[in-house]
Amino acid sequence: MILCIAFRIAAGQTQAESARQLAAAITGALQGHGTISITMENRSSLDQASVDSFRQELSGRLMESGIESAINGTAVPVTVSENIRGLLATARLGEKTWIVAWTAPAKRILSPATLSSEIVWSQTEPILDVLIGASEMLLLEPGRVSYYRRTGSEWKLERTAAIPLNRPMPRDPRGRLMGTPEGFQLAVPGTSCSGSVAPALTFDCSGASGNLWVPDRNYQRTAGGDVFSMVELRDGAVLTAGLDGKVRTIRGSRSALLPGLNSVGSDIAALPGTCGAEWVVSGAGDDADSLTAMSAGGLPVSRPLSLNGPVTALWPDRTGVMAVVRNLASRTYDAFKISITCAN
Amino acid sequence: MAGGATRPRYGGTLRIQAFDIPSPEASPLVAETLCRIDDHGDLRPGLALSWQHDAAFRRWRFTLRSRVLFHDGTPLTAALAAPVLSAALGLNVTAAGQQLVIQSAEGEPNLAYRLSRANTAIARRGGDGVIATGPFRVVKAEPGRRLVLSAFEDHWAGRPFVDGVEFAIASPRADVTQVAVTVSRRAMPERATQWLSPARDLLAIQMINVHLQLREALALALDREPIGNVIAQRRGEPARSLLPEWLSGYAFLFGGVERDVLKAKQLAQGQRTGPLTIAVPPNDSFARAIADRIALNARDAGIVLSVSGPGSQPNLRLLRLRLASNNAADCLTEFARELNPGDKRLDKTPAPTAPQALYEMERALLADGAILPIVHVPEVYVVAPRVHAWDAAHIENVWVEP
Repeated sequence: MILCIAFRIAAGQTQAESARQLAAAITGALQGHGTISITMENRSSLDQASVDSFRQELSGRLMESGIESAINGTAVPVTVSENIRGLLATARLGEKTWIVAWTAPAKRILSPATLSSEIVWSQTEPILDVLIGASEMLLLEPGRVSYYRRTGSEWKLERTAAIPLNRPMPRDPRGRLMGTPEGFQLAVPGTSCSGSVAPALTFDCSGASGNLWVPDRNYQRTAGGDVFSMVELRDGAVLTAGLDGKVRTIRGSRSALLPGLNSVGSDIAALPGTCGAEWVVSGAGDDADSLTAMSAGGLPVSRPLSLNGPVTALWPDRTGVMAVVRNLASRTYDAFKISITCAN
Repeated sequence: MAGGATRPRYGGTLRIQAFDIPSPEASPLVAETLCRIDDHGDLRPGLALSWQHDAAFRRWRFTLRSRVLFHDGTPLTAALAAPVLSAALGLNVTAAGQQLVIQSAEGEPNLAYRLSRANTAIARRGGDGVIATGPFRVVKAEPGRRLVLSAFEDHWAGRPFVDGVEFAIASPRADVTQVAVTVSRRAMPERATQWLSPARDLLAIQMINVHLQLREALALALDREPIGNVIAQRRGEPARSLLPEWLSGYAFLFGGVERDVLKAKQLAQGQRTGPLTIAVPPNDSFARAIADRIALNARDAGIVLSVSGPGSQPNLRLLRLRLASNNAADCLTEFARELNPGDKRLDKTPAPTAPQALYEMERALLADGAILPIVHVPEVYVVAPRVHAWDAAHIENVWVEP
């Protein structure tokens, strides 16, 4: 019996490997000698620098194989295009056509403001929360927890275990992971567990309390109403991001709308207090979200930090916040450590 | 999946006015399949979590997802699924615990793709109609007119965001209305959003007993631009390939020759033939408008072509071919099956997956000029502002404002 894990995304080859493959095909057709003239056309969303780099790689490989490039050589039109799976390069030589494919590279995040991002983990499955230390990492995914250890510069999967869910995860999965002296606690809608990672990854989901998530839903229930997320400010007040898309300050029994915040996102998280910033909020851009550091009173303290996709989780951690972004280019979920630096 | 900007909210009813009302058994909202093809064209687990096969593809073993419930609360088991699949596939299907074993004498290399099709969905008839495992349960089904669904609280992938969905062929209070590709943007309500799917349908001419030279003449006479820009209101992409560019990435390779009426005339003059007739899909005004346009183009080249009446034997057929999924290999194999219904080799050889092999297959299908692609067109919907995350292929993820 052949194991056929057909649903795994095949590891795509790189741009350089594709160029090498195309060069080998052209070289084969020319039987290892000849002079060609490559013309490049870009029909894809790839930037010109990447297209130029593909051309250089292709030309370099051809030269190594004994194929010269010259203006009066045999015409070889090369077109870079794309489909829903990734990028393609097509080369034509006479009646012959070759097509090679590779996956799109992830776009780098530029951090233009005082908020900065550092990618800590990336995977194709959704990430709900991450606990990360110098040598250990715990990932909460819909329906399971995975434990990694660092060996050198590599993270190695040590253990993974399914969470004994009482209810199916909601379609917009949410969850929180908290470190404890004994191990960890997790809460997802409908299920709370305490757990440990050694000697085995185990859960006890019988008696854990304090789970605010509403079963089967993507929100939490508080005394002040149903909310997508909330932040405790240093003065004891609580900020909530409500289901109606509004942010409110709750002090005791009084609730007030934060003015001027009509188009912010559903995710807010506390920041360690620096530069007058107390919390961070997600907001929608044209095709991706951004994060902005805010003061307790709801004024922006940083310029928006652009991300390369929608934010799917945003939680405080010891030094900043942890944001999970669905990367639209690479089709991965990327976990970022977001930190704030103060301007002089 | 929600974005950070606004997470989806629960509740409300989504009313959809559509050209065709899905039958409950064939709707992925109600009945699910063992495998599915995702938005990027990758084969993914559906009701089956994993699968294995032998080297000859004769014996397949599917492991079912655990804790899946039918709408009446019955757990999904291999014993319940086996007879449904056996009837749908015409193959020997046996149950062993949570596993299904499917065996065939000749080998089924494309079985996982077949098991992503609606006709292999796991559904059974109960007292109230169709009972299945999908995110919605059937409340009322009036075939061809109306389908009312309600959210299934215990769906394994989470309850849908809306409480219910109502499909109707006429719905004055519709939140989402399907419109013909020929309807102009100006004719739509001002505040509503126009939603276009990627190109989903290919309109193409199939030539039956038409001499090669006359095929060439018709191809040279055809003017595709007005069809995409005028008849389809700039929503159509003039097509020379079977698969659209967004799916294959290489459609531009089928550039072909430019329109050349003079050459078409010369080629047609060399053919002594009577008037040609073209058959059009019934009740398809877009296809009819294209056929009229083709007749005009043919006349420019001196070819007499008219739309055939019922009962006549046409020389040409205008086909509307629908992309079966987001997987290029799957779509191309289905097209090949529709164009060559008797060709059993398609079932017995693995569908090509590499772009190079797909291109070669598509080129072979178009080589003799018997199929002439004309235009790729999307589905068009008018969506009210209260509707969020609309995607005709993923209604289970849509949410509405109260």
